[in-house]
Amino acid sequence: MLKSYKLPLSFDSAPLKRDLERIPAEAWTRHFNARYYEGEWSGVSLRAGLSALNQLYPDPDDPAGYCDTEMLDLCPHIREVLAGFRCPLKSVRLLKLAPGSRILEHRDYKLGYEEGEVRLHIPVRTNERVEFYLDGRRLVLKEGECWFIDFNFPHRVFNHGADERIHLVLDCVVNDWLKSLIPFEDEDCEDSSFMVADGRGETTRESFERFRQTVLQDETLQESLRETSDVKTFVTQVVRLGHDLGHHFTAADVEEALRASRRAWLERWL
Amino acid sequence: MTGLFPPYGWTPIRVYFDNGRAFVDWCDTRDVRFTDPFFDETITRCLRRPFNQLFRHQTPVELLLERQAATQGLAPSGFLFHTSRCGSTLVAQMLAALPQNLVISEASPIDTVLRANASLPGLTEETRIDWLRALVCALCEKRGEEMKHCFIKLDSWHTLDIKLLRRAFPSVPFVFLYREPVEIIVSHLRRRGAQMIPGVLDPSRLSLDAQTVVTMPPEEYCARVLGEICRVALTNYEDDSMMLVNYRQLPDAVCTRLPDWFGVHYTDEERARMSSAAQYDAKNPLLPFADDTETKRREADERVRLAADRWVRPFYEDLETKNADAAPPHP
Repeated sequence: MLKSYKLPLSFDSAPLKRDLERIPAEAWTRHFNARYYEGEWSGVSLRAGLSALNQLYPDPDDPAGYCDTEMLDLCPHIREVLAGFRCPLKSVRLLKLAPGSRILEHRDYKLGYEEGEVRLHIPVRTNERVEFYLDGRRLVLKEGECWFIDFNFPHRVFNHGADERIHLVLDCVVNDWLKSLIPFEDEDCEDSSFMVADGRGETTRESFERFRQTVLQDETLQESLRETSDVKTFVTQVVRLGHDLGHHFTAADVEEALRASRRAWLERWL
Repeated sequence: MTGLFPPYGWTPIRVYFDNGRAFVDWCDTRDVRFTDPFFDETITRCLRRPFNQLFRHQTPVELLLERQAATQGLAPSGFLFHTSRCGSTLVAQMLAALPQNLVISEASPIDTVLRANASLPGLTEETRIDWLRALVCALCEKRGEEMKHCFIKLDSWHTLDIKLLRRAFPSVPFVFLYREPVEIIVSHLRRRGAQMIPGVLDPSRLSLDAQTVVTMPPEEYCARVLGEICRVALTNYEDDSMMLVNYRQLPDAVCTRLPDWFGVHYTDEERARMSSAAQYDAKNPLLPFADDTETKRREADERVRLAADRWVRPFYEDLETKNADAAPPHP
């Protein structure tokens, strides 16, 4: 299955940024998935299900249909971009991740090529210190590009930069036009788009997994980590030990692994 | 113990399924005593240590069997079955008060293996028995020189699997703890145990269907689950391989009848130590123990009494008769 793909479409981000200036600050509402983020993650609904016009939640199946919101009237350049999509559009939103904020790893469900609906991202404002990971691999999305991403795979975003990261997010019904642009059935065409972490092509997560196995086989290394009770100190210690042993994973990989472990224990009954 | 993998002192804390296969999650518990009221509480305490969150061996379930062949875990000295809300945690805490005893109380990996056929259709009873033996062997591994005996307290609903457990452990002494049914039902109506929430147990095990269990009055559902647990316990009693203990006989029975049944001997000093553990509330050892028989009886309304009489009373009375026949007269 195709996890991600950069479409052969690109847009000038400067006029789109001017649209952003016209949106009043109070129109941004906090994202409903409060469990999944730290800091500030908010959005503006530009097109939504008729039953819930003023909500940020992108109802994948509103029986009443979808229509543009008043906010889209403020954004003529975005409207022009949307008009270029020759497939039915369901929800369309602007999503903003504030500087220093992060979206923790999670999956989205009921979104996918098989369900007949896919999500596209057009970065309007972003920066080099945004880290987006899809299924453990970092993906670099640049302003004005248009990306198909399968969010059924685990993903996380950290905005380490000083600027906001604002994406235009389109939920599209798959039709022949979209299929002509995105090779959904072909999984080989995605690899070149990944930023590889080192010369071997190993991702930071793969690097961390190798490190984890090394520690599990080595009691001396275990002893050096066992007694630490403070999580922050522990993460620093693990990253330092990893680097000393030639690994290149980051604190984010360690924190993610800690979270996954806690989750597995809490969900042991499910 | 060289070559053991995962190494000595690591405990299976979770059994899980991925892609139609079973796996075991192992945690380093080298310096841990299992003295909390429940196994999972001890593990939750272990997992506060960041090391234990990040570094755990995860192996296919078959590794449990290899490990069983390579080690000589203690054979368990006793299994505690119970109705829930009948003093079983008190018994476990009294036994755990002695350093030579390891008590594994309501461990979730045992539950997962007992239910594994729901996650892996086609899994045979034989395989479940093999996994159970290997799991119990790993849980009962000797932890320190002073440890001599290991006791397994099961979840109350595992009584429904007592035949399978007997086949898996033919010579381990079994004990079944029970209590006057109205008192148990009142306790569950205050705060429901998992097995008393309709749908948690497969309704077919109660000869009911999914629709009926969710529409049934709560006291009736509790009474039916409880009745079934007592009924199944009685069918196993026939072969005389189980000791019956009523809540009323606690805590004395732990120092008198139980050691003989388990084939263990305790000194006067050890008995005194166990008795002092009985002075505290078993599930919250900071509080003193309080017998609540009277308040629970007063709290029971007519519907609770009727449900208890209809679905549990006959089995309860049968348990009482057999208990009186077996128990030596009180000195």
